[in-house]
Amino acid sequence: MQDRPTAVELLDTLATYLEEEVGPELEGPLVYRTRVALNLLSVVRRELSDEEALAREAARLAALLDTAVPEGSPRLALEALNAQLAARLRRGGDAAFDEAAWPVLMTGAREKLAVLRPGYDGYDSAGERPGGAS
Amino acid sequence: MSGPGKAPESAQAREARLKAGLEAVFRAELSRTVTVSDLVVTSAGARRGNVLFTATDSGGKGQRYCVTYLPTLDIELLPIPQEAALFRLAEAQGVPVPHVHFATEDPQWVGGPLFVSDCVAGETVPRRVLRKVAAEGTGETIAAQLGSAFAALHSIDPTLAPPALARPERTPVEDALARTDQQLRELLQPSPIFSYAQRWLETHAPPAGEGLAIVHGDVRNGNVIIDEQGLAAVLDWEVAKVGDPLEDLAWTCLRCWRFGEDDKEVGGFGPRARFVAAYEAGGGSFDPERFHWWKVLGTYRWGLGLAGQAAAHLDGRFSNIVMAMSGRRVGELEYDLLSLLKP
Repeated sequence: MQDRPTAVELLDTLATYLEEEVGPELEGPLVYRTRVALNLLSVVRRELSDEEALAREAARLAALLDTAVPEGSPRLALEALNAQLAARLRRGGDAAFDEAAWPVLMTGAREKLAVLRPGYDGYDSAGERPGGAS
Repeated sequence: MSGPGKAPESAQAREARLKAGLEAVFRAELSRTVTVSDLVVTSAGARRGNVLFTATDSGGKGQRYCVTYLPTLDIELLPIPQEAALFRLAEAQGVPVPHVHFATEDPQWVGGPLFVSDCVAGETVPRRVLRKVAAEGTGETIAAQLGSAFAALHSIDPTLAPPALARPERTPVEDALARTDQQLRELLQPSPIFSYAQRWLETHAPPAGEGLAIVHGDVRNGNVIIDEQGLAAVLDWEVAKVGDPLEDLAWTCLRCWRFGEDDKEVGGFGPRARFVAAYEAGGGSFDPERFHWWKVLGTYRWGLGLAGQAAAHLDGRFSNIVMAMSGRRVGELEYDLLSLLKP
């Protein structure tokens, strides 16, 4: 166990440093890149704040694939399940499975966005399909 | 110290060399003696330069121009003289593009091929463009102008396309699927959503189209000049090719080019109805199913492109913070893809 500041607290410190001390000194392309850097820090911060995300996703995929969550770390388990699911969807030919997969994929996509870009899923492109409404 | 010609050139030295080269090429190509001043670099891409400048005659009359050039003789996507020829072809058909004055492959002027065109006044930076459009109320007009511009472009006989323009190997649909399948295999980690999209695109592939057209390939906010009247010019024809005209329309309507104006399907400018009506009025033919297929393909393709940027960052081919961020934008495209593919 490391001493404080925690990883999340260190990221907050870095963000404040970039925003309040470095930012005002910058001009030109560095302004944009520093904004990207701040954005990356907030992505990592949100990712670290949700320690259960990998295990939740592994459980969802295992249920969809009707298999047990593989042994090992949640990350390794999820990598294995992801590879299995990707291969099965790529092969196709099972409409019922595709239909069952869509909501699971969507839940995963929304959870990723909660880390990457909160609010991005406030718009739904389904209304743009031929025939329209979502 | 690096050897001769290897030391990085200072900004001032580069500007002086460019100014001298432009004055010389105006004499050679147009028999005009001008003084070149007020250079403004508009895109600082590593490969290609776009620089605005004023050329003033001995009589004191000055005019703004734009030079597009390659600083070296490196491989071009589309040779600059052929890109210039495409500008002229498009202009003759009524597509708003900057008027080209001359093009040359001679590397003696600025180190590589170049073409000089009119400098078209207006805004090109996406978020500033959308603020301007909102303030001036030109969004719906621009949606219609884009439809008309596409109709004009797609009405050109594709056999007139400059010879270096890519032609489909099989059909545009089959070529696109082969390319994305390759990119899907090259991902750094398997993506169930992209795998689902690839399969959907294959099983829903539209039949061979009505015909081929010259397509621009990248018409979106960022590649257009917008002024008070709306669309002033379409820029960046580097990825133009012979392809399916619906591919062009669909690319403009991807959510990733709306910059937050999500309910304005046409590039964040306006609604699809105005765009399609203008396209059809100009002689284009619209098919909503085919358009949808190309939108799914485009969304998927841009997601793969972002993943490719992250891979280039990680293996050191092109490392920087923006490319790193690209890897963490793939999730946006995955969400958009699933929304478009809702069962």
